[in-house]
Amino acid sequence: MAKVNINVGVNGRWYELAVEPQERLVDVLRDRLGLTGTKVGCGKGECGACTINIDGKAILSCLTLAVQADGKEILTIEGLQKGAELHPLQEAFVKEAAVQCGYCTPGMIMAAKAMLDCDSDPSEEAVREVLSSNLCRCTGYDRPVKAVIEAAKTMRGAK
Amino acid sequence: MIDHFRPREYHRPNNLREATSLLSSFGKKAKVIAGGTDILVNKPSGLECLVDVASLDLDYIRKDEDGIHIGAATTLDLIESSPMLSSGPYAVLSEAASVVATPTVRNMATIGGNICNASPAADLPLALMVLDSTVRTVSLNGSRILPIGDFFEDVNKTKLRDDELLVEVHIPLSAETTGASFMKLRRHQTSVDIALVNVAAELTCPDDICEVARIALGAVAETPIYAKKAEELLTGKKLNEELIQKAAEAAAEESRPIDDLRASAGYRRRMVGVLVKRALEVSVRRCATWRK
Amino acid sequence: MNDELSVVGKSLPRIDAIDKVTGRAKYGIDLKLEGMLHAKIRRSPYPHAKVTKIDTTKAENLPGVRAIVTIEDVPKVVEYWFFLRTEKKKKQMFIHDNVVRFIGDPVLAVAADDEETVEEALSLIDVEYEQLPALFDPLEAMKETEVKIHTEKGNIAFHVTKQYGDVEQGFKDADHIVENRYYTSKQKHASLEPIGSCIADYDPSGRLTVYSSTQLPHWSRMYLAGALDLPINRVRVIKTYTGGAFGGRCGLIHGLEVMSSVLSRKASRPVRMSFTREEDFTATETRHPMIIEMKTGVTKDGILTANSIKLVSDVGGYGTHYIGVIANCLSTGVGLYRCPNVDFDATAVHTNKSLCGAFRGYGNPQMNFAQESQMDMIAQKLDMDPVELRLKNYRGLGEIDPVFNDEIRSDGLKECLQKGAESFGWKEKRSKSSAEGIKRRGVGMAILVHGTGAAKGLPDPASATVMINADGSVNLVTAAADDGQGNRTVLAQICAEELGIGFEKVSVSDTDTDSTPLDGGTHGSRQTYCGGLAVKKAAEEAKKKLLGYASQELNVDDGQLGIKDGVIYDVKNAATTIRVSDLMRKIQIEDMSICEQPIGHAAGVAPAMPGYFGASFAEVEVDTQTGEVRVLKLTGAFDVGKAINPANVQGQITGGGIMGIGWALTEELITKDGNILNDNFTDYRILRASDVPQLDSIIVESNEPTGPFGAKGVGEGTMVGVASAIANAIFDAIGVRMKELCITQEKILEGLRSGAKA
Repeated sequence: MAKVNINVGVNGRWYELAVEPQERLVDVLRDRLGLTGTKVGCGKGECGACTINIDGKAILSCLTLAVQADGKEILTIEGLQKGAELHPLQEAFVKEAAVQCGYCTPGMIMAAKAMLDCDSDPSEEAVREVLSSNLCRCTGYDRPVKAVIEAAKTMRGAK
Repeated sequence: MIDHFRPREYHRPNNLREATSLLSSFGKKAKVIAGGTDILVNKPSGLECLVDVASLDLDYIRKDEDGIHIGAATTLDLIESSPMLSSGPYAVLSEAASVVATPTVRNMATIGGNICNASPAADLPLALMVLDSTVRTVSLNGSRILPIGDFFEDVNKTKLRDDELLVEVHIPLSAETTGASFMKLRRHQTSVDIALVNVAAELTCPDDICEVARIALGAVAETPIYAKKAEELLTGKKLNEELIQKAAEAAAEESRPIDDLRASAGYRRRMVGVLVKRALEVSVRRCATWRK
Repeated sequence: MNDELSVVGKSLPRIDAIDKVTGRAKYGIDLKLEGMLHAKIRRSPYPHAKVTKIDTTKAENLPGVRAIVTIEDVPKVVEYWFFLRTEKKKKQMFIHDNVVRFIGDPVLAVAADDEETVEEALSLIDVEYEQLPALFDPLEAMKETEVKIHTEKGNIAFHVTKQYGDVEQGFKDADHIVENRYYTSKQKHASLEPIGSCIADYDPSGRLTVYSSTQLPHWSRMYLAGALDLPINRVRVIKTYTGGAFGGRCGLIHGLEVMSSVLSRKASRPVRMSFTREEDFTATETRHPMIIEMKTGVTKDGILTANSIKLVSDVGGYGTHYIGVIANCLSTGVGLYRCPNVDFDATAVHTNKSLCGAFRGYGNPQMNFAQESQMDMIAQKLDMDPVELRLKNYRGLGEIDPVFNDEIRSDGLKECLQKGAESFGWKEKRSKSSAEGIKRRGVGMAILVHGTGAAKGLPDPASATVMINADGSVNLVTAAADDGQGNRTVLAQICAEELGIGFEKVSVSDTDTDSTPLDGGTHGSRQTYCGGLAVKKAAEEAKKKLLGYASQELNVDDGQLGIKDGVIYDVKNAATTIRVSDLMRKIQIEDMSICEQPIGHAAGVAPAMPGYFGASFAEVEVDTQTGEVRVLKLTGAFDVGKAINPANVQGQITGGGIMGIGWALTEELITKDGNILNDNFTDYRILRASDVPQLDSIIVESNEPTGPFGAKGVGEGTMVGVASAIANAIFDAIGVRMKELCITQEKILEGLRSGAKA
């Protein structure tokens, strides 16, 4: 099986990897790079637990081949912190008690991050719409939605 | 040996000649990958080559004097939010795009991929059908243009040949006083779903007479279909509630749904009637309010 | 006293939230062990068959294959810790035969160096089956004598009858009788982390370590010890971060840990097995679907006189919790209302479908759906406000629960109903009925009670150890398994409050059976109450020792000392103080003749199983042309005794509410000839953020005297009454009584067409 050489930027660092064409990006991130924060919940693009950002867009890494990420910049949940400082979304999810089992949390935060980077003052409806990409079995979604709105406030205030 | 999704080669060609060369030489053993949201779920076995369309500059939405041109690799989020598709009857396409899967999937899924996957319940084709759209394909031998309504052959099968690549969708300019609408019936309390029944309708009504009627039905046949008898009932007539009801019933008769785990055929057929009526009512209202 | 609480009653941030938002938290499948093998199960394609031949030769010779186990080597463990009580019952838990009893039942498993090799090896193994007739309908299976799913017992897994009073007389005394049959569906936990994943490491010295997300680490340890024939001390269960359980991990996962452990023993290497989402949907435990016939008698004044309940529970191919689930149906069916004459007849039946087990509510949602529909019909017949009918009949403060023969010591139901109704707008919405129009709105409600813990019914131990460090900070050791409900945070709060120190000064141990003592696990809404009592007691003991030393230091009687904000003080003379940290450094290090770390420990059973009450109110809109039901508003008011962490409690109310809406309207595993047709999130639909109605969560505190700071449970009750309230609201909207879950559009239209009212 001929491998393909790719260059991917992950959380600010560039990696040169040899991957097989059918290898999923989520598996490369989790198994090769040890970034297990991105989760697999279904493998079919239905649950959103595998959401990461590619070039600033929310993308499902279980439905992306590693080869497709060649030359792209990827951000995973592990890349949100700046040293010990949490991203406002991470702070808000903690503060608003929006985390229960936590399995959907990285995917939700990454979906929200891509949204807030484009829309700094989303309505609750818009937040719900974006988060409809991410299944959660524990919270009932009200606190995650609130957390995103609070994070947006913080991010606007910081500017 | 087990059947696996294990393409031996992956290519991201930089131009259409390279792309179509690959499709020509691998034939059935090559598949195009765009967003990946269908192919990586279906994971077909026996593939030798994946041809990625990402570098072919097929992601665009342009408007000129003969209508709107959408590149086949344009993602659904751009279609959903495009200012060129935000008003007039073209909005029916962005409405359809806005209810496909989830927002994150729409960041990845493309209009070309959605068309070529040819699900009988697909949302975009219905909007394209009532807008009288055409699709353009290219191969080493040249290029073809087909009306979208003729493009679908069977469940998950289009007229696309093994050596062809779908490159563009074209929407002709609509006449003034045209109103279109899109309706999708899902299972209840469920905002994200594959349509149980979906419907698009477009009416061109200068004055009070309906000059052109288009009604497209989804999830009720092997492919998306036009409800031709219903369309005929409306063409050239003055529209009123009774006529709309009759057309809705005719559309229901024309549908040929099946029973599956999502809904029964009987329910689907009845719902065609309900949705077509509602879609026509909205289209009539929009005829009056939209201008080109 | 409660007004002086400084940690309990506060919505403090969870101790594991930062790990989770940064991606540091490792769940089962995130873990890696050096030299780890991958394993996968090959499953039966038939609903009922004898496995007549397994030929593994070709697979054994495939390079990279390290071990193979089949059902010939490995028993199936149908576990329920009640059965650990006697040797005889314990043996019954291990089924060792060559029969497969549902599509997806494990036949064999392979461990190899990588996943690809495992897949290839599985395809090289020849398995031959002799198909047996399969049974899918529980009522048919009950009567069937020729086809036996379990050879000894036949198809009836369990049958029980219980009588209270005299139902015949009770029905004679009734002015109205309502009789109906209800059906509830096969619901799946669908936790975001697929069920299940484990790493089993059987090392050459004969010790087994299993990394598992089980809700019951200690019971699972005992099941594994039995299955692998090891003494308990040689089995270690380490609980990983868990992505939701809801009862789906209430013990071992069918085939997962046992097969992985045996593979590991054979290969002498760690083995990881991870089920896909499809395997989760089709081959792990689900809720018991039930058929409930209920006949209820009531006087014209709305007083219940008799209730006759006949219940059939569809267990599937194997049963684990079926007895407990039925017992819970009994206790909630009898416990909720003060009905003097009750007849209860319940049968658990095997069928050749996927196995059933524990699921949030544990029989109560099913019973509640039947019971609260009956009550709604009665209210309608008597033209009485449904809330008033409940108030007249529910068993409240001071009364004796006849099933457990115990007094009800806290009762916040009236407040739940009053606050719930007010917040919901019950009176206003009820007066506006829209019998016209295509879209019609309606409102409905239901009440419920659910037991906290299992003290009266099952072995239900809890224990905790509190260790005070040299700087006054504390390590709390507990085997409480946290699946996302936040119980470890709550236990830390209780510990901090009892000791009078800051919350941030308490750390909670990981859950590891080698070092955290016996605990019944996380189920039955029990950790805050049972775990909390153990923690409080352990903290009291540690505090006593602390104050004993302080008493000597300060020369004050220890009965006169208190602790607040980490400072020990004389209650009669506030100036006499010593910091806990200063005292601890002295006792543990400075004074070389002592060097003692004060430790408190508690173990035992909670004194009661206090019922916690709740009321659910739902408003729906029904599209009479399409049959679509939309929930507009859901209000849940719950009496939790005392909310140790209010945000946690609210999280349970909203999460449980959404799960209840799903059970009512969108969730059902659809089976055909034993096949589960909807093994994915497209067709098994759990609600998304854009599906959520207006949610209202109300916390009521009735102060349970036996509970830690007055607390009792909440986790399961929050979904129990939701489907009932929704079905009642649908009746209010369109006059159609829905008696079968889940409620689909087509059933609504069918109901409208046939005018089904009673």
